[in-house]
Amino acid sequence: MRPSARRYKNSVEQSQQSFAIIKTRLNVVVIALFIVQIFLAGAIISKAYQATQEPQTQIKDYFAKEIRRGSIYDQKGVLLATSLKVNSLYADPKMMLDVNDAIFKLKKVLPEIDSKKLKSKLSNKNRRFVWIKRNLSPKQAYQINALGVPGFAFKQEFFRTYPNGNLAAHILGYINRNGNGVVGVEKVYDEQLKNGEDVHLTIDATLQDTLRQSLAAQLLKTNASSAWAIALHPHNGSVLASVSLPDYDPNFYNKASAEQWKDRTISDVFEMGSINKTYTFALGFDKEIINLNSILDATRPIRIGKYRIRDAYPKSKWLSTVDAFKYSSNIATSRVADELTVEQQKQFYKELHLLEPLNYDLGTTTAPIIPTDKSWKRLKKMTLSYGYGLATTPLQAVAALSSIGNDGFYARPKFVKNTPTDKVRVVKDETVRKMKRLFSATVEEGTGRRARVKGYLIGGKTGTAEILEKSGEYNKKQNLATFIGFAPLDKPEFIVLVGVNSPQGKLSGGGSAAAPIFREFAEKAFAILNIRPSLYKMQDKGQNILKTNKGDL
Amino acid sequence: MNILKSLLLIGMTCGLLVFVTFIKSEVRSLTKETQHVIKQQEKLEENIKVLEAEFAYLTAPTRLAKISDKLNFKNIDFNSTKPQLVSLRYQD
Repeated sequence: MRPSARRYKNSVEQSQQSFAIIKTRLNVVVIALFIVQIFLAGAIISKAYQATQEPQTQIKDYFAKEIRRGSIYDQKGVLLATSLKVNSLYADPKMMLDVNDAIFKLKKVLPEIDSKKLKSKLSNKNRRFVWIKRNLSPKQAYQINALGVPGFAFKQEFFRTYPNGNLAAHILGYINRNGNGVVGVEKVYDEQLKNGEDVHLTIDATLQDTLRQSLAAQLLKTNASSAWAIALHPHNGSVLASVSLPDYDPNFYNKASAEQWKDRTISDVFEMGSINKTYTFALGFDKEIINLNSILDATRPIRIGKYRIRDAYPKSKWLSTVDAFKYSSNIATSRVADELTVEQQKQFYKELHLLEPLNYDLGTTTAPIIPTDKSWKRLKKMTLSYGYGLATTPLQAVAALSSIGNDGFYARPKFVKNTPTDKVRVVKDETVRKMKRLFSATVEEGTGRRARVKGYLIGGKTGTAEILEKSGEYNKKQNLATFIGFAPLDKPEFIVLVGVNSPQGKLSGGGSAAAPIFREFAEKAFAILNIRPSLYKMQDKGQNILKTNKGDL
Repeated sequence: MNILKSLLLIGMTCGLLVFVTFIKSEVRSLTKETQHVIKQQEKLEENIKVLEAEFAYLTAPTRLAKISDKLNFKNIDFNSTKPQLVSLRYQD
């Protein structure tokens, strides 16, 4: 082969070799790219599949910055508390061109702004964020935006609002600037509300307002220092309305006083006075110590050691059970208590949750004031029987009294709809029927006449207790006027306990200060709850008609 | 043969690249759409909440009571309703 041909052959061979090497490398790169793309595709598909499996809220949360706090509703779905988005104004001092001009313009929309203070904050160019005003109204936000001042910006926040103002203020509570519940439902259900869950209460906004109006009017009329009232649904312990006056507007909680913040239905204890006779007579019936035909010696005061038990309005004669209750005789009631043992009385109060703080779905009531074991002997047993020596919160009292005038079952009170009902029998059916006779007599003929509602059968008991001062002495000039009412008495749809603290003037007793509140509330509540008036007749064992209310109609 | 194999490999790689890019752009546009829908939903929810609050304020029992006083509405007269018969027996 000629040298040139050999050289040519060599160069072709070399080219072929180079080409093979390049081809191999290219193959490697292509395969590597191919593998990488396979992995990438797999990763994307897998992520997409995972996203379809995630619950919607997570996808929403990815985009949403903040969860709206849950709303609070009454039993019928009336809104009581909600969170709305509002604009809050802040400034970036570094972006501001003319601080004086900005403040001048801003003052036209927000005249309450402290110009000097704001100027010193906005003049500091090292700061990038200065709050000016939070929770602007839509109109204010629009006007400020229209000013076109560089450096002003808005941040959207949630603002808690209570559209009904003072209504159910103590039950709802309020939240602080950090969005944490401080008291009431806002505190107890803080976590659920923060997670966006709504809370439905047992209260009825219309009944709540009705009760509040009636209580407020009487508070003003009697110049009392405070007043409270609770309306219970008797069958399951649901609280239909709970009012404590004075109260406050949770929209302006920081402007309220300590007196206004206080919910007296759960935080204050009171000696309820003659209302407590209900427990004594109920226990007497239940233990068959007395019956409706019994007669009790109320001819003269009872003397025990240096103490005398007497009646406010002595009848000085033997009284039937019915008369003893309707005229609220301390002497006759003490006679009943004398036939009971201390253990029986203690056990009964225990079953009615009167001897310890009451646990319910919004917390625990203040501890009651009860006699010590050492002092709880004959005399204490008798004074307890007519209402002195045992101080409980109104919530405890209404739950206990409700059981005796309804169906004999104690139902733990509850404010939130989903709370399970907790009922235990405390007295017999027969005892309830006899107690209804006494309650009816009190309203028809006794001290509770001012609670009568035309066309309806009402039952109840009045109470007038001297207020125990911190010194340990009773103030003879200051009373707590109370009334417990059942309506309608044959099948109660609501049970109301009312208390007026230190009513002034002639209308200072349970029958004159508290009973009218019940009547005013009941008249409206019957219409609200669509309860028709009753034609009723009372019959004795021999089916003789003792009384009929036809004359009322 | 080798050239065909290489061409096939290159073709598949390019095809995969295009497919992945297509998926990516689809995901981006769906994400944007989801964002938009969620924002719309939030707006509607906010409107509902505002209307709810306004309704609660307008129908507040105190406000309705004032209006009924202004318009001279009267309480229901029980005489115009049909009473129900109830019988009570008390044991002695």
